[in-house]
Amino acid sequence: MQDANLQRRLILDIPTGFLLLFFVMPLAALVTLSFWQTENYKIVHEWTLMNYGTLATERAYITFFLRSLVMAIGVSVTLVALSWPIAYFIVRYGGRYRIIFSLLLVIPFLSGEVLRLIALQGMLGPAGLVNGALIRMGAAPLRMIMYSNAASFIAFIYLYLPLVVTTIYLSLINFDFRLAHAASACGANRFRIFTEVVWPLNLSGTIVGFMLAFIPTLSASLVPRFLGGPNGTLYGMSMAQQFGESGTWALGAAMGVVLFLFSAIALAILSYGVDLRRTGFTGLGRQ
Amino acid sequence: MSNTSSYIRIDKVSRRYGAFKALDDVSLDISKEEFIAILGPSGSGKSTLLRLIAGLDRPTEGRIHFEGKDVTELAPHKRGIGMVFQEFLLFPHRTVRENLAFPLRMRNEAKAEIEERVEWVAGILSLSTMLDRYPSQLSGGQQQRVALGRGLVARPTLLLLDEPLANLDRELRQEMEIEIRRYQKQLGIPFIYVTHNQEEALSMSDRIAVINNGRLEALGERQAIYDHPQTPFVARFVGKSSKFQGVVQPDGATVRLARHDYEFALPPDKKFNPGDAVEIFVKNERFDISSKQDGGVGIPSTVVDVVLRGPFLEYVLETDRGDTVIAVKPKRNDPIPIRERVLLSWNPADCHIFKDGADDARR
Amino acid sequence: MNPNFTDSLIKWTLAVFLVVVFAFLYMPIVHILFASLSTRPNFPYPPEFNVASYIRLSTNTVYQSAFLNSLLLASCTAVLSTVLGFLATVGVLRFAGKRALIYAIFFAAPLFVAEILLGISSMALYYMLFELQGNMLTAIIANAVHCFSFCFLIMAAMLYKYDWRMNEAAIVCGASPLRSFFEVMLPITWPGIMGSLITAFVLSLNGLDVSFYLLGATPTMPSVAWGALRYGVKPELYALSSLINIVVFAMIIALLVAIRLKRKAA
Ligand SMILES: Nc1ncnc2c1ncn2[C@@H]1O[C@H](COP(=O)(O)OP(=O)(O)OP(=O)(O)O)[C@@H](O)[C@H]1O
Ligand SMILES: [Mg+2]
Repeated sequence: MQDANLQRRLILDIPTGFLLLFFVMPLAALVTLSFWQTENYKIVHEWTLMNYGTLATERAYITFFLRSLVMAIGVSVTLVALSWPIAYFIVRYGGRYRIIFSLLLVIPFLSGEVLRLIALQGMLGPAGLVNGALIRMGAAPLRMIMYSNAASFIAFIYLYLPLVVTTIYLSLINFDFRLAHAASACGANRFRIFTEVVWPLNLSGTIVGFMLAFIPTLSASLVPRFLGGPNGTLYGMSMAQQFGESGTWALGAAMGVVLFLFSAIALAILSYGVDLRRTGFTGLGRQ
Repeated sequence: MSNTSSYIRIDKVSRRYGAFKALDDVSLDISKEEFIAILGPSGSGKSTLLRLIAGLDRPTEGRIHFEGKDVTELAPHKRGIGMVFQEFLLFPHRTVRENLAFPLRMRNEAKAEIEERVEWVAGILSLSTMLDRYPSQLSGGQQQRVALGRGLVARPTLLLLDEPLANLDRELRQEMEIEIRRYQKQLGIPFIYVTHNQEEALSMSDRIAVINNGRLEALGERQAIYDHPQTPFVARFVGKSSKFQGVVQPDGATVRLARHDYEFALPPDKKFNPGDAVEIFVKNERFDISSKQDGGVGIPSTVVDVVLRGPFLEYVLETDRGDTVIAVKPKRNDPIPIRERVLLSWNPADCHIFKDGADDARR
Repeated sequence: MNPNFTDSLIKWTLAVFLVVVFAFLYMPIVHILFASLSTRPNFPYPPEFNVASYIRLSTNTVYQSAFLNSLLLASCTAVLSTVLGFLATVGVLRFAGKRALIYAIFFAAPLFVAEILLGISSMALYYMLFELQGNMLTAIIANAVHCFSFCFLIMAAMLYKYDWRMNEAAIVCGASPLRSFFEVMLPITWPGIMGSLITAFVLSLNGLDVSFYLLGATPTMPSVAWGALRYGVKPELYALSSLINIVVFAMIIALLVAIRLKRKAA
């Protein structure tokens, strides 16, 4: 009796403790740090709201944040729109090649952001494949895709497409398509089947996919630094700079807290707007 | 049964989940070579009892002894038991042969011995031709036999079966009932067989333990449980019967039904006070049906339907007060026609009478 | 319109779309593979087969030590996060009872916190508490936090379908709990566990954000690549990227083949 209970407790307590120590504690430290100050690369333990004041008043930060927000929303919406047909095709028509298709989508994701950006740079850069080919054909190089927000946008799509497709794929593959047939038998046409049955029942998976693209885009530092050009500074990049070159840790921490709060609010809004039961969510128990 | 002769002894065992008692003070002695059925409705605690015997769960109170040894704290894999589950739970990544060999390997038997035992058990269960198949390549009945074989192969001290036939279709089930009973007699170890199906319990076991709401309601030879139920619950649950309400008349010797114009004499061994409200249970096959013209006594009823059940006829009757009663009779060439008016009665010695609310009073 | 016609129209439109997407995803990868094998990395067409950049990569000591560091980091992270993820999965599926959903959300939460925030906040914590500059151990732990959620979800998806009473069936057959794990549970659920190990390994092998803030001067593959990137892309980087892609590809193929073989045997 006793040891069985102990075993149960340990099995849940070990991962919980791990997350509390190394996930929650650091975030708490970040919050604390955001209320302190940095002077000459030294942390001054004095409570202040100055960092948040700077963020709320300085034009540059507001611009960065809004730019990031627009970018993140645009990227995530585009990704969801792109991913749905792909995932739908694989699940409906993939047959026994489903696994191959889905793995082929995942593989590029696995080689990591830096290396994938290098590959993308080979495509988009001034000397990259696209412009190289254009020049060779005697056309003018496309300026739009070099060091601009458009280049960043393409890069985000390239980076996170596999992640979003996989999430929606996983949602669809657990979806019982006989429900769609049932709806069809009830007289619904293709469009109605989609809007009344397929979409709502896969909404929670779609939201997860949306968030998984939204959050890293909102906080991206590599892409804008590397592809964004002079007008492409995004919030995450600026935050990274506070911890790097400028050495203003406390301000960076405040930026981090804002970022975290904002992601949490976005997640909350999205999941609050959705009645889980109407998305077919049945909890975690086996039925 | 005396303490010394009992092979398995379950002594005042309870299992609580918080305030809820899944099993409440159950005692049971099981002798070697006995086939005992644990019968009860869904949620009554049958599986809980079996899991306690297997050691997969520990009782909150009480002790369990195997052959005089207290095993209450013993880990399940050291108890030397066999167990068969309703879902079979064959190992999908192992062939039939490997599934059957599994308990022997776990007991570190020698290779030759393992082979010999597997051949033996495959022989008695007629599995010899499918030893190299995987469970997914077997039919339900074959999987069931493999599960049984896996329970039996290592000569367990007892075999626990938790509704092993529930997932099979009716015909196969009846076939397996006979086989399982035969293996038990052949092997001479106790089988503890959990079921919510009273027919299964009646056809296979030597003794039946009826469980309801975690408590042992009745324990006895199967015939006694069937013919002489000691509580209203057992009367209702074992066999198919109909229930009537009645009142003991002022003379203390007759009972009058509350909703029907029918009186019968109390059997001499039943003692009630005049005015007592009673519940009367009559097994469906114990009804007498007489034609209205014959002028006997009984509950006036109409035949609504006649259903053929093999060698029996099942009459669906509607009493004049609107209750539906089913009466089972041996098949005849000239069954009573539908819409015929009849009188329904029974031999007072064949019905079971309890004081109204006896079930609640026990709780 | 004929519904069959509409159906196949939809199907083929989607198929073409899928091909375009695959091209979009793979063109850069194939392009730099050619670039890494060419003497003209900017426009390597027609392709050549020149391994000079691979030789330069393999003799570069910075990349060598970065490779070893990354390997150490990724292996430890993979094992740590898979073990923790396994405990979390078992805990949520078996022992959490009514609180399963709460635990599941908590365990998946790191997925919704940007990697860079994990790196920065861990750095802040260690710096504030211990004045620590960050080292391999802290980098492994922070990476494991990030990978943990992936491992948890991957294994939960696998174990969700697992019938836990299979373990009990083994135990009543006389297997000790440990033996029932190795003989029954592991053989049935290994694709999920393997998938979790591979995912965590690959994620932490390539992740820059966490290591960047927690490893200080210790070079890892992504941080060296990032460093080199700031001074213009070099063919060695193309070679490195191609190598990693090939290894990942081979690992996935091996996993697929292994599953196939197992299934064929069954
Ligand atoms: N882990 C548990 N926690 C709380 N209650 C439990 C637990 N396991 C069983 N119970 C309760 O104990 C009671 C008995 O359960 P048990 O599984 O023994 O029923 P059963 O007689 O085998 O029913 P069935 O015929 O449906 O299998 C049920 O009411 C059940 O809800
Ligand atoms: Mg049960």
